[in-house]
Amino acid sequence: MTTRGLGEFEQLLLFAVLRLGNDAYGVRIRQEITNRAGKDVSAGAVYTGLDRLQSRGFVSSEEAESAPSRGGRRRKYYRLEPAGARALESTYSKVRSMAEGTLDELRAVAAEGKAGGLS
Amino acid sequence: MTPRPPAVGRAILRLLPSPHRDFVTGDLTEEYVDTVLPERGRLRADSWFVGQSVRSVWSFARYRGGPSRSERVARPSAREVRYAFRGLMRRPGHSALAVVTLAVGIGTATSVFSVTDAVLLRDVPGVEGQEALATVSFSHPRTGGESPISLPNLRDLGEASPAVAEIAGFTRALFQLSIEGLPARSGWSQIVTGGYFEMLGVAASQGRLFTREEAESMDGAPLAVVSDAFWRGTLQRDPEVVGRSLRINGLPFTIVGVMQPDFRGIERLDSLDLWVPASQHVALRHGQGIPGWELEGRGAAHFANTIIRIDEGAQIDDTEEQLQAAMTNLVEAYPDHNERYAEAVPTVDAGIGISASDRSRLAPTLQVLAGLVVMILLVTCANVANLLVLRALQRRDETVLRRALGAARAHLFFQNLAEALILALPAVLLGLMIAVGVNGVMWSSGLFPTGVATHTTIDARVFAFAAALGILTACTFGLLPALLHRDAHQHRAVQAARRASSRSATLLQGGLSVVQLALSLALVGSVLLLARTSSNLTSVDPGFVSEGVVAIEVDPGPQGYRGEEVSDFRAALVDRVGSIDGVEAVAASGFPPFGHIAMQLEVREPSDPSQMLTSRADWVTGSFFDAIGIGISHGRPFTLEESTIDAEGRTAVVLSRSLAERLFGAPERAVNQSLDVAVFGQPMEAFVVGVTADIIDANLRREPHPKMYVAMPGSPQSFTTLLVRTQRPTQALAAEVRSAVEEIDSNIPLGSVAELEDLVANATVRERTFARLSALLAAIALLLAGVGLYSVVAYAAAQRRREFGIRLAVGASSVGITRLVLRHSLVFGALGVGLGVAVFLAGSRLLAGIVFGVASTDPLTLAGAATLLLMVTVAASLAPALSATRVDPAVTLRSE
Repeated sequence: MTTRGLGEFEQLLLFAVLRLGNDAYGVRIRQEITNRAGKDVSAGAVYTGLDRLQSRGFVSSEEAESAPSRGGRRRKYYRLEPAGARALESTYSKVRSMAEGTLDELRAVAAEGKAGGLS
Repeated sequence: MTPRPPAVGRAILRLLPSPHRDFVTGDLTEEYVDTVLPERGRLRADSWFVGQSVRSVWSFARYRGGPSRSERVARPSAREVRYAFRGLMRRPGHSALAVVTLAVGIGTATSVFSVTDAVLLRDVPGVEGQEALATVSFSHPRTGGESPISLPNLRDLGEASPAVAEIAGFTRALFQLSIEGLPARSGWSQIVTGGYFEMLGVAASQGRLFTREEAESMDGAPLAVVSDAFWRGTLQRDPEVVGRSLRINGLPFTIVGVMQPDFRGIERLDSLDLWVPASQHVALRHGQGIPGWELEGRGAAHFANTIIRIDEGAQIDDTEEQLQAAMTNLVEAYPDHNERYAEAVPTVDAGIGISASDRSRLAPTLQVLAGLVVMILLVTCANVANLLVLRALQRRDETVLRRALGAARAHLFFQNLAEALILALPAVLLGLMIAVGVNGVMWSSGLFPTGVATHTTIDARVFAFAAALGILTACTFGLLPALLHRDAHQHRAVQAARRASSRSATLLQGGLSVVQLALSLALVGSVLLLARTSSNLTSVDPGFVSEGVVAIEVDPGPQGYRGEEVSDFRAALVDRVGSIDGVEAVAASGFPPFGHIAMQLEVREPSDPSQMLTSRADWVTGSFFDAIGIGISHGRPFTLEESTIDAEGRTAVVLSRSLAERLFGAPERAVNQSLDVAVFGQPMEAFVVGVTADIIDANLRREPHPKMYVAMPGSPQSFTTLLVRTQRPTQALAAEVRSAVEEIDSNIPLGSVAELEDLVANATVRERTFARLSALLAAIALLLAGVGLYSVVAYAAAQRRREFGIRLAVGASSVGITRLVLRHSLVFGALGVGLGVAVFLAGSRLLAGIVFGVASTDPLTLAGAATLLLMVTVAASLAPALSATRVDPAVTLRSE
């Protein structure tokens, strides 16, 4: 559908949907990103992001039953589509192959920058 | 029951486009209930929810794309701003009024609070660690009179009190200053003891300050430190100011330094010209060789007010106790010289910045003014809110249409926001200008003593607060209607929504009008009280004739005149002025009515010698009673020639009627009686030659004080006021008096010249200014309340055109229709009046110390204010009511 790559936030969203499997709805996705990536995102951003991914055919969604604490409002569950999985795999493997073997040096340079900033 | 997230957050979430709204709200609610609330507690969970709501709406507002074009939410764009601007321009009058009035609210609030801050609250500029500083006054519990302290006493008090870390003395004085090549002028200065500058932590910006040695040693050199303003102004930034000489009260002084620019004195209103060492005090007052005027020794001059730095950890109470004990010891050790302190009680007044008398005079005024401007600010905010709600109501059809055509909720949201900001931002700018203007007016309005520093700056924090309040109000009420019509796009519900949203918006608008009316009533009530106070005070008869009397000040003291020299000078001057053409009467007075200072003495009661009675006093020539038209009712006045001191060494006095009655039961019994009198603690034997009428000599709010007039030659001071009765123009008279003074001694300048009538009027200038200022504020509030009410009633009446048409068609009379509309507005009017009376009564305590001749809860005033309010209510609804009767039933019914 489109050849544009995935942004960082989009990658996080897709990984979260993948990890959560059948439990991938708004609250869980947001918490997964917050807990694992340490990134505090708004509920609105989760939906606009997923909406954009859905329009590209990367995820699909399904509305389902509610929980009492939602005040009767339905949940929207997301599932990773093959197109989405391909896009995520392609983007991530590019990053990974570029990163291979450089991690130690990367951290060392980052630490240098920090020390330099202090002096 | 399941806990519910905060309503604010839920309301914000309603701005989300509908297919996502439920999911986001559901998610946030679920997380709030299941996770955040149990983990973080109510307060933090609520703020989390609101924060998430705002961020979510923001995410959607920035989001382009999505499955459904009609639900796309676009970025806020210039288009919204254009729409908003166009919308406001459709009612240019009302929009301009909202901007201007909000600006008035912001401006007046800013300037009044800035002035309040400058007078009562702000730190004194330039002074270090002022939270530990305090002033100490030794006052007599019975008379309230304060006693200054001598230099030796000051040192002993400091040494004997561990709670006092540092102690210093100062006194303020108006000196005659002359510098070679510049015209002579008078200037405020402070005479200070050693340690004064060190205690305050101030330094010189050029040269140096004088040392403790120089300040206190008997043979200290005559040195002066000038203020930065004096250096910049009078000395024209002379680069060689240090070492320059100037004459103070005719004596040569050397300038050793210029004070740091921000320090102008220890009171916020101070604007001192210079500081001189205490060692020069006696010389400056020409007091050498006079008993009681030495600097050192136990008989030293008691001249200094006391300022202390309280030791770390010590309390005010400890300090007072220790000072009391130290003073008791001093009285016992030196009874001859310290007897005056035998009953004195020290009061430690924490903090510096305003004298107790200034505080008691200015604080109530500023508090009331602050209360009035807060009400104005609220009224103007309510007015803006009202306008914005009305705008939204009028645009409701447009909103419904645009929603139906697929306009995003956020578009309308931003249009509302833009509209609010278009009103609020110019108002903030205009408000800043008004604040600067009002600030200038306030400092020159006569509310403050003359000769104070005029701080024309406005306070940035206060302005930021007032501006933020205006913007917040505009935004809140600009967005509220957007939430009220959130469902306006559902076309099957359009009709119902129209009715529902118009009902809730009308209620909101009505509520705002009620608030405006209530605040206006409180304002109008206050103004009526202030106006009555002003008029009551102006009509108080002081008991003497001030018309045609000119008061001219002259002081030979600074040129070294003492004792009999002063008496001779005065006698010569009165004689010369009396022979000027057109002068009907001339008198000299030491402490004239409505002058700068008043004098008190103590009289022993003849019937009960153990009792000392406090009386006002003045030293006058015998012609005084004629000059101000109070005459002598019993006995005779003293004459200038007849030495006022009789063969037995008694001083001739005239008593006021109330004093004569108090001492002898009846005025006629007072004549030819002797009295024991104490002046400054010195005994004096008085002989009553006559009785005169009572006069009010300072405060028109009070009953006349008992007063004793003492024959002039014994006056304790050289400062003299001539009271001249004449039909001639004041300036012409002043010129002739000036030459009369010059004929006697050309070195003596003429002091201020004023008409006595003006001096009396000046005593009420604060009340009159106050009444005028607040009348202006109330008029604005009333106008706004009227406009607000008019828009509510007009809108509500327009909504009911169909109903009126039907009523008219089935035979209702136009009077009946008018009554229907009026009834609607009178409900608001009555609610406003009810609430207003409550507000007024709650705030009337503030006014209690200010009103005169009328109770602060005066029912007549309240009734008057309420009537005025109801009249405004009727006036505001008359036009809508009349237009309702002109509805053509045929046209209305056809349009359905």
